[in-house]
Amino acid sequence: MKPTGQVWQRRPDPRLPAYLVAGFGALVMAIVTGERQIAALGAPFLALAAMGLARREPASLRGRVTLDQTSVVEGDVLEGTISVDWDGKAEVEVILSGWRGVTPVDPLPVIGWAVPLGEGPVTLPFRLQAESWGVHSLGAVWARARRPGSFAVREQKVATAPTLRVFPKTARINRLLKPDEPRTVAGMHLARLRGHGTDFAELRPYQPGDRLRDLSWSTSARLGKPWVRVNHPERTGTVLILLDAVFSEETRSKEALARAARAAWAVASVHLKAQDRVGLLARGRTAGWLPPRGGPRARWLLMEELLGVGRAAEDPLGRRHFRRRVFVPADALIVGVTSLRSQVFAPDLLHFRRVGHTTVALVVDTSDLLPEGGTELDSAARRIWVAQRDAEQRALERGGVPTALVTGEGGATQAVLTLKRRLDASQNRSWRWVHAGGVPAQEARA
Amino acid sequence: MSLQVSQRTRRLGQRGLAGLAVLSAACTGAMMGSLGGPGFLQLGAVSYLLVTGVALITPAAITVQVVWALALIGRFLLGPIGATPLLLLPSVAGIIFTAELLAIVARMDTPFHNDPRDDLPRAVVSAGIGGAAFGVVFLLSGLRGPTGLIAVLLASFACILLAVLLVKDWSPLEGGEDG
Repeated sequence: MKPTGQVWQRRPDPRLPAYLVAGFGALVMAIVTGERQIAALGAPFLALAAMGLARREPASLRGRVTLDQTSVVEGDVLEGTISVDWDGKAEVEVILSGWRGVTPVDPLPVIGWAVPLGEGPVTLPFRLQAESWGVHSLGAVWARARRPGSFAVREQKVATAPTLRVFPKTARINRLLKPDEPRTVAGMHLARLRGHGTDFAELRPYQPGDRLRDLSWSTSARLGKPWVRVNHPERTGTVLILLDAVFSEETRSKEALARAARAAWAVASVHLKAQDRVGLLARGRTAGWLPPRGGPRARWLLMEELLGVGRAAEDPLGRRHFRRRVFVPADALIVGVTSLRSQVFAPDLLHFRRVGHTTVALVVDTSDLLPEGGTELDSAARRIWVAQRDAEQRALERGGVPTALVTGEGGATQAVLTLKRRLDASQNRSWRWVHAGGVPAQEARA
Repeated sequence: MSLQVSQRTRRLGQRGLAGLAVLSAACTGAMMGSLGGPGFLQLGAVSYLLVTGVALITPAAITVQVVWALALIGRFLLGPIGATPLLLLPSVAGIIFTAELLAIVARMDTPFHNDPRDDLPRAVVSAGIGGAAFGVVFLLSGLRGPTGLIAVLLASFACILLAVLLVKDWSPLEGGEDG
């Protein structure tokens, strides 16, 4: 809510030029032709023009916008009020324009009012529905004031609306993807190493130095000598979410981006809860980069970055492009979240795989967003689009990037579960292969 | 204070006013046509209706619409017809009333509601003032010699001054609905 300066402009009523031209034109014609009666035709129009201009002193306008909340979730309805004040009596039209990412609920079809002749102030309530995620400007309040009977209209921006933060609706996920090499910080992932933790690994005879609390009393009693439980230590991992931010100005394309963002947020949230370090790299028509980090602050930073991508989808001025160097930690699990609507994202993912990162892809299904059409041409176009997406998906699979489709029914949970199984199987295979060859894991990795 | 009406009501109101403007233009054109004269003047009176239709779509054409009507009346005055003020006065009032209605329709062309109740009495008053001003100046223009010329100039100035004083001291909308 920012009061603006007194920058305003005056707009003439369409009658003013008509009456002036008619009045003065008639007088000129009367002089030219020498016919006095012609002057009589101009007199009423000059009189009316003088009437309209007599009260041309414009009303001074002031205003402000108040929202009941500035952070909402997609689909929420928020309420607000616009207060406009002016001096003296005037007819005032008020409109909230330039908003992005929201749709008006009340009044419809635009947030605008025509206040009948009277004195200010007036308070005008409105309701908006948050439509798309991101940080959105709600535009500005413009008011147009006219003194009764005046031909001059004062138009002015009276207030700038606050910025609205719309958070994406997130799907709940209860499965974690397994990062490549968990770090030695307490977390949720099971490491291949053994140590202190809660997940059982094996039993072995007691050795000097073992903690007494690790003694397995039942096994020791059964075998007659002390045995200890050995557990897997719990570690944190690094997850880098690679978001496909390629979109067009079309609504369907933005919805596809929103779905990808929801899936990305769902994956990020669950990994942050599990003490993982999560980063975000958005590439496409806008860019975003947040190095992997953990903790509650990371959650907010990640959300900020995602909201920045959402804002860019609605507001061309909010788009960012940078070519700075992105440092991806060697142990990071790359999770690509894409709708595969562009053909530039898959090569990016394959690049990460080729340089040695464990890479997976969540392919967000957007086939339901394709335009419906009854003609054969439409259905052929639809089939071609799906075939192209499948080809991209197969190319990723061939390149060693497991993929899973995030559908409307299964949601992100099902897709993450699929990826987790495939990653586990893949990691177990490589583990067995390393042990069969007698090569220590670290060397094999090197 | 209810500021909102349904879109349907707003559209109906706008269409109603547009219809009234066309009706007013038709009556004015008929009055001008009844003054007689050659065929091209009759055709001009009909075309006034068409220009009104254009002004309904483009408010900037109100100027053309008013000037067109005045040119027609001026042609009647200059010609050998000898039009009487009794017929000219309603024509001038009709031109003003039509222009006022067209301006109201243009103002209503916003996506939100615009209440025309305040504007309608203003249009009637404007037509009355315009008609009266025309009548007074027209009568004075009948005086012969320089007296008539001075009388026309004085009357024109008096009309303008009176109109300004009228607005300063009294507004036809005084005591309207309070904001």
